[in-house]
Amino acid sequence: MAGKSVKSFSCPSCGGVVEIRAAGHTISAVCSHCSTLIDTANDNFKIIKQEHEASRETDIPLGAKGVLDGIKWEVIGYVEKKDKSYMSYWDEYLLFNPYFGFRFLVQAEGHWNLASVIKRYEPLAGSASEIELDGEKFSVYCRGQSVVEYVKGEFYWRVRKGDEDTYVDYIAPPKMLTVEKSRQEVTETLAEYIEPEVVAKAFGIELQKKSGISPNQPAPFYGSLSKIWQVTGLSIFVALLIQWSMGSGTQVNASSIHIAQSERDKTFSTRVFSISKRSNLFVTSMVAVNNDWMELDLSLVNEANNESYEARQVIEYYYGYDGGDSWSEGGQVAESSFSAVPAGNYRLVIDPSPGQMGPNGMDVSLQIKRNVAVWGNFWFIFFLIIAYPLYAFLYRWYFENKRWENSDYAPAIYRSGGSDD
Amino acid sequence: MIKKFAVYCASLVAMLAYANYQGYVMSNMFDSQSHASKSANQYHK
Repeated sequence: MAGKSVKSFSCPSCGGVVEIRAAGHTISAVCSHCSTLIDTANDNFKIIKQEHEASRETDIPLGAKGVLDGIKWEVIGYVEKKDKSYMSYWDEYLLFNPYFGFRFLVQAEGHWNLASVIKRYEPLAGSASEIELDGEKFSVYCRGQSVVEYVKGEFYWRVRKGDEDTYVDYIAPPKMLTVEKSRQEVTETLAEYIEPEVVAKAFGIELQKKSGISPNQPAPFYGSLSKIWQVTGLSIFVALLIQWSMGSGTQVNASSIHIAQSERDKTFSTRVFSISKRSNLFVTSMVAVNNDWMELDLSLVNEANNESYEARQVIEYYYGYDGGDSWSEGGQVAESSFSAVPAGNYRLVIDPSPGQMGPNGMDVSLQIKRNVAVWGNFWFIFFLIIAYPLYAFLYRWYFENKRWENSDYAPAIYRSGGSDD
Repeated sequence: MIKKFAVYCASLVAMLAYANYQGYVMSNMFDSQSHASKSANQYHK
């Protein structure tokens, strides 16, 4: 349990009660009544720096206990810092558990991180633009100078208002490595993003809503984007196999009709043909129109019940020579499809509406195929499949752009124009 | 989320297989000129 041995003494400055929750670990404490910094390394409780600043309310009060990552922590210290250049503020809560030591809970703009000091020496940390930690690459996000604005509680190091550090933040979302350099030491802190709701639930408090995007906030679809693309690839591959298995169709009828000048209003019909099983039917018509047009109203009629399926084809072909260039538009071939035609005997009834048509009439060639591979079906499914991963990809890209908007060290792909560097 | 998406994709692939097997032409759903209608003896002018 955290906070088993709470020790208290009177503030040598104001006489208020100062509680020490991590006795034996802390070397300084800040009186919560007058903000005076007191040496707690021994029982003399000497004043290190006298202050007369009233205590501030914090999101999480000192002494609050909460379970994070399965460990019960007690809040024993609070530091407010600001960046000297950007004038941005953040809070650092010092957490203590007698068995697990210290952690930091860091809050900025409503975003939270649980951090711990790592005890290793990275010779390039702070100067390199990219460093590797346990196989993970961390990219520099910002460099700055921090100033302690306010302190309260107890600490295992000497901290006082006005203390300055230079710091470098490296990110590998959801992790962040911060390298802080003071006159005395270099400290490396590894933080991991934690949702505000988790913090609120752990300490039983209400927190402000987060705003903007935190440097190491996990991107949308974090950890699942590659799986989404794997499922997409596999689905499209299977869809392609299904499509290829369709073949190129089977011809069930090929007819040719001649329309004489005197037969402009006549209706023609192909011979009866059979469809052995329910399938699609494609009718390809070829008419040798030249600077002319032909409209064909097609009716596929079931011999047994006169049920019909209808389609219309317009064939027009024009060409010429204009201003030294030849031109043409349209074509002499048209194709129509009938969807899911049941098995049975059919004939195709053609009701032509010719344009000018010469004195010799016009020939119409018809080819009827069943069970044709319809690539439109594939593309319809393809776009329905690809829509979600595409959305995920674009949303992720937008998010990363927003993340790097506040950094001077954005990778080239997220760097928007207008930089004066 | 990934499971839901996998189920969604599997449903679409199954839909493609069914549509192809049954001979459906999906684009005809949006084409008013290609439709089936029951009629009798209307082909003789």
